[in-house]
Amino acid sequence: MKYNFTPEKVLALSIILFSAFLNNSCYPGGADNVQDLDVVATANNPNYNFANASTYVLPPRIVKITGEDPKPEDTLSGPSVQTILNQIKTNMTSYGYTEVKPGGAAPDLIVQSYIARTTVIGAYYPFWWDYWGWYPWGSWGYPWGGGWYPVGLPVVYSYTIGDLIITISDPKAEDIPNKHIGSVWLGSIKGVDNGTTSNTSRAVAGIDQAFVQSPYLKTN
Amino acid sequence: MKALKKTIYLSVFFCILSFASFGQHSYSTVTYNMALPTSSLTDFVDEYSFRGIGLEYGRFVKEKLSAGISLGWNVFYQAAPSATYDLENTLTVTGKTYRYINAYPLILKAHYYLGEPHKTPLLPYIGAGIGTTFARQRLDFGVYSYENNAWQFGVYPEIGTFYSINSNANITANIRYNIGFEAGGLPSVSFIGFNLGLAFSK
Repeated sequence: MKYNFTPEKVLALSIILFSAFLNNSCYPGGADNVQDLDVVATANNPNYNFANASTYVLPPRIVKITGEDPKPEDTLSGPSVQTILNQIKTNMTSYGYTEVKPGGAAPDLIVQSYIARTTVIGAYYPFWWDYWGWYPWGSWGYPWGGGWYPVGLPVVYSYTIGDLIITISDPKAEDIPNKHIGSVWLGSIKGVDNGTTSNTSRAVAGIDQAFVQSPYLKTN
Repeated sequence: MKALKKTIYLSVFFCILSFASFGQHSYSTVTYNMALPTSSLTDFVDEYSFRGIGLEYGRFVKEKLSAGISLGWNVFYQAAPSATYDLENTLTVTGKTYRYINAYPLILKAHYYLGEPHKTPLLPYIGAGIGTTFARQRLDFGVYSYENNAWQFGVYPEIGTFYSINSNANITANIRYNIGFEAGGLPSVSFIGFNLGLAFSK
């Protein structure tokens, strides 16, 4: 049997085969494990001078953002909570800040952490204000009196499920009637929480990275 | 993608029609295409590409001159280690990135042969082409993907050769500089292609 590979036959066959692949571009490689997908994002208010701050308060809860009216049980539980909070404290201390507890002098900054249990993208998050109605220290202003308020979650980035979000806010920058949030820094460690030990270590590494890439936080 | 396919089909169709009145000799090639990124493409991916394919069809319009059409597909990929990027005025992100370029050069081209076509087994040529490169750029960052597509005008100088195996089968090899011009929000997608394959002629 003699094959007759004329140029036109070869061309026609090749085009048919080629067209079959054209709809699907080729994307080889990619992430081998979940750590390869870790992303740490930080943003800051460039007009805020962190050198003027020296004390902070760190509420002992990590709030779950559920996308619904918050409830008191919407806080993260388990051993990872204390590990995450301790790592935040370690980094704040290394940058020259001193933690204060309720009952003492009012802090210069509030450091709050959240875990996203839903996706929030580029829009005002309607429930942040409500998270403080059940705050364990009592009503707004407690214990430092009127004019001091805990603050909520700004939307300057998009959050997806499993993100650990840390905010630093200036309570004096609050505009309560207009619901203006005084956040001056935000760190987002993407997708690190689903409750496993390995994710806790990723969260810890992410917290460290968030501070490393934010040298303007240093006061010492 | 429908527009791309339509363009390819129409180009091939009209190319064949326009050459029908010329000489009897024609060729087609199927090549394995490799590529070395150059110019601003190296800012995105700078690793050598071993993924690619090329098709070409041409007819001799003079004894030492052929005209043809070429369609290629080159895939560039690079996994960049974790790095920190200042994306906006106050936004900083850190993470690994996975970068992809799928490039589809569509070229109208001509070869000038330095030997005697159909008389000597080795037939080197110099070539030139104009056309367009459809480029699909994708950046994977964490669980996010950012994609940007563009058609870029291109010029395609080339040197190559055919080597006759028998009466209608040849080995072909060429080096083509695919020069894309910045368009559609993508920097110039330019690369040197090293293409090796089979050619069928009559």
